[in-house]
Amino acid sequence: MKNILYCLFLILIIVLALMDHDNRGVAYNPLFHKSGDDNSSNISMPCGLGGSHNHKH
Amino acid sequence: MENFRKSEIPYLLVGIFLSIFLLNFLYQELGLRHVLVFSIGLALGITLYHASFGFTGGWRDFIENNKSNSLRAQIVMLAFAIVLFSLSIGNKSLIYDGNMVGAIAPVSLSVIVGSFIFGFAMQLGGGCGSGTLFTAASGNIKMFITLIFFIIGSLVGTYHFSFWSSLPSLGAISLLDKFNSYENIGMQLSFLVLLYIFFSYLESKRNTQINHLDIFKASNFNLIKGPWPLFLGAILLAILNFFMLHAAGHPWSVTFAFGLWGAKIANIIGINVAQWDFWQLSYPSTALENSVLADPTTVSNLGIILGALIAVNLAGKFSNKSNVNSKLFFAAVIGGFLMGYGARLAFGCNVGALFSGIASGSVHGWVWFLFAFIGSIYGVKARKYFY
Repeated sequence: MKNILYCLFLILIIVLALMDHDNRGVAYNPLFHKSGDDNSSNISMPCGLGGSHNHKH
Repeated sequence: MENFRKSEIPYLLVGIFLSIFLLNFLYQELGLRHVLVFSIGLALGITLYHASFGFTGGWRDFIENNKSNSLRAQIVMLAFAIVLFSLSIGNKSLIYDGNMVGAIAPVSLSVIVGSFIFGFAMQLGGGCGSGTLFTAASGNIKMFITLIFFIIGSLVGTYHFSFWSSLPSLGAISLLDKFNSYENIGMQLSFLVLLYIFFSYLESKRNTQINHLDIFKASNFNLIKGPWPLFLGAILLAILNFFMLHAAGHPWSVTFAFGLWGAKIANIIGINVAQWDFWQLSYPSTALENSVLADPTTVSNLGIILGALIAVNLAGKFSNKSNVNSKLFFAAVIGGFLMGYGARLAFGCNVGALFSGIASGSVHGWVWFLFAFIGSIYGVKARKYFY
């Protein structure tokens, strides 16, 4: 029973993520890259402050 | 197949079906790089589970018994990753036509405090960032409680962001900025060798002899069902983090997604986190406004969750549950919350700060290692009140 509930909870989390995807959409895809672009300036390391360009204090 | 529990096959199929569904969804909606990040997450989840590769238990084993096999495996993992990363960061990715960045963060008072708190709390919670994720995903109820409070702690950490980020800081110190790749590899590997000798010396001093080959062995090794030797886990984690660097453009990270999930849930219940300073920074504000599935850290975490679910069912251990008494419950609540809070202060957990930070040549990763380890020493003492 616990295992079934666990799997249902897991499915619920994924459903919530899909609903968030439908509601919010993708205004900016952090992994979208056009050939020839040097996007090093907008790649971010989400390590707390959420981006290398934010690490300047 | 004879040792599979038939009762666990449906759960194995659930894990495989959800993985295939998400792979297809991510490909249709977000593109190939999200698919790669998710696939790497799946492989990370399987590796973490089968090799039982966590920092918490290994550090505790050393603190309590001077048993250093897990620490030595972590050193091997770091050494391998340092070589791979030093030759990659700043260069073009093998997967897309753009440069990659390392996990570089400031060396600051907030890192010292945050990593100490994290090291202390992971001994109470029973797992680090990656450990909490893969053990919770494998059906461990206590770790699921830890994960929930990890998310809450991460969110509260973002609320206090302004205060902690105003504390004294030396700024970001990247060894790859100050030295060339080979000098960085030489320096960091030399330090790791010294650490390896130090940990081995302490183990041999207490236990009279040390078996350096123990990390290559696993009782009843089985590639499909596990367990895997620590060495195999260490090498695979380094390679998978290297792949993550090339697919996502940045190294493996776990805890940013926890804060993001908490912020999304807070928004649903009416708390306007978008006004908080942290969520007005460029990347967090974009992540908050965007689909949660656009965030690569979320995608890799989902991969780890489903990878661990597949691995635990391959191992036939999904039904092995332990009871959670009130003491363990409070340990999970306190440990989870403080880990989440500490990770936000320290620019990541054992993965984003220690593993990816050190591999990227960021000095904050070494500071994180030192103070998290000191925190763990106190955490092991506090743990005795709960376990």
